[in-house]
Amino acid sequence: MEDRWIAAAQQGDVSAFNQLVEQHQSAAYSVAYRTLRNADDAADATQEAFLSAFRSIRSFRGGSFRAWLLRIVVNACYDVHRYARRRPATSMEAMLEERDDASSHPTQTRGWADPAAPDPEAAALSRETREAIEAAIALLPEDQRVAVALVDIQGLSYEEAAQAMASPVGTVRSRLARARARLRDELRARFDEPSMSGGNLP
Amino acid sequence: MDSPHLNMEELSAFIDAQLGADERAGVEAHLQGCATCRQELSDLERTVLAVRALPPVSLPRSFRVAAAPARPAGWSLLGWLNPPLLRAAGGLAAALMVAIVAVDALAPARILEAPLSTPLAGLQGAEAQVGQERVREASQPESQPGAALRAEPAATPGPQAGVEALAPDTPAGAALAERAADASPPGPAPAPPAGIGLAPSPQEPAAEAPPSHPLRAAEAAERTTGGWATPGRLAAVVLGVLAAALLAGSFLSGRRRPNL
Repeated sequence: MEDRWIAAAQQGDVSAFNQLVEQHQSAAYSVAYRTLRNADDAADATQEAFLSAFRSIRSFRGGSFRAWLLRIVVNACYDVHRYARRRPATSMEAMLEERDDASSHPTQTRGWADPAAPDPEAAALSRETREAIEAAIALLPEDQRVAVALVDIQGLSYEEAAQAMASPVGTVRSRLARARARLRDELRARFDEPSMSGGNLP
Repeated sequence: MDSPHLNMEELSAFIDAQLGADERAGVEAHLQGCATCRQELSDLERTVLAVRALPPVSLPRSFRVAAAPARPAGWSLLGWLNPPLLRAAGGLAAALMVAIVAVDALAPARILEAPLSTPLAGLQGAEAQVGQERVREASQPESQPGAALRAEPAATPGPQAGVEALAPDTPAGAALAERAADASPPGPAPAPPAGIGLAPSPQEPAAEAPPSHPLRAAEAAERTTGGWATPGRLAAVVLGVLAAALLAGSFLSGRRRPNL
């Protein structure tokens, strides 16, 4: 089905392209939002990315359309960031403040996801945990943030993520590992657990 | 178990099942006998699960692309004014401009002299002829002073005009003489002398005319070409403006197109 939409969109069929938009806009916006940490910027980047994708869809030569599209989204985000860098980084300061506020309130819930949980629903996070992770992701370097957004949040394979980031698979792998290590450290510090559980492996 | 512990990249890729068979076997073997690495793996797994359990970001709006406004096949004005065509036209105009400027700079003689020498030659011939004719006119009605004002014979006939012309020292007479010279640049320079003489010989103005010719020629050249603005340079300026306009147009329409 997606192949037919792509073929039609490559012939200039806007409604076919909009089927692709419907299918991928959640992922696109999510990646943009995680990368840019700002809803307005993320919406701008997402719209710009879809317009750009429609213009250049003839250059898509098979493979993962999602990865091809997210590559354009990531690029659009980098473009937004290049402009944003000239603005004072108030958002980052606000975020750090918020983080300090949060850590001054002792957490009541030890809301880590339970790896033994049978399904994702059971791994629902407490509000504190969710906010802690969001803040920790936001503090990652941009490249690592993109890797987390693509692989952990959108579920891309390493190969797809490598395509979307225009980087070798090995680079994706190391960025992801460093990002996860930092997130783990953040969570450990936040929940004051040198080791988070008693070592009960599944 | 050569290394003391598994590194973060191995653990991370292990979670994603992204290790090769050999690597994977090595990691599994190490984990069997290393509680520290098992703990590391467990913490990392919890972290990854927590990230994956983040609620999805809600979409603020639809990002559908607006339908294109029935793009013409290529015969309408908009179809023709596409960026590549405008760019090509602009580039052509720019190239022509450069070529003209280059020719102008490298061979100034051809640009500056060729268009001017021919008209000037004709001008000089006509001038001499006109001067002689007028001298003849002037010499015929010797008793008529108005003929002194040869430059404006029809417009100001009569004795009065002649009187004024006969008094070149008065402002009015000087002005008239000047106007006469202006109105017919190739005309006889020696209008006042002829008037004063009342009976000039045909040779007199003809003899006086040549010395004034170089000046007149330069003036005429100035007037017809605008001095700096030779035809070549004018064309270069026009082409430059055209090229800039075309390129700007292609840029603008190229930017407008994406919005569809």
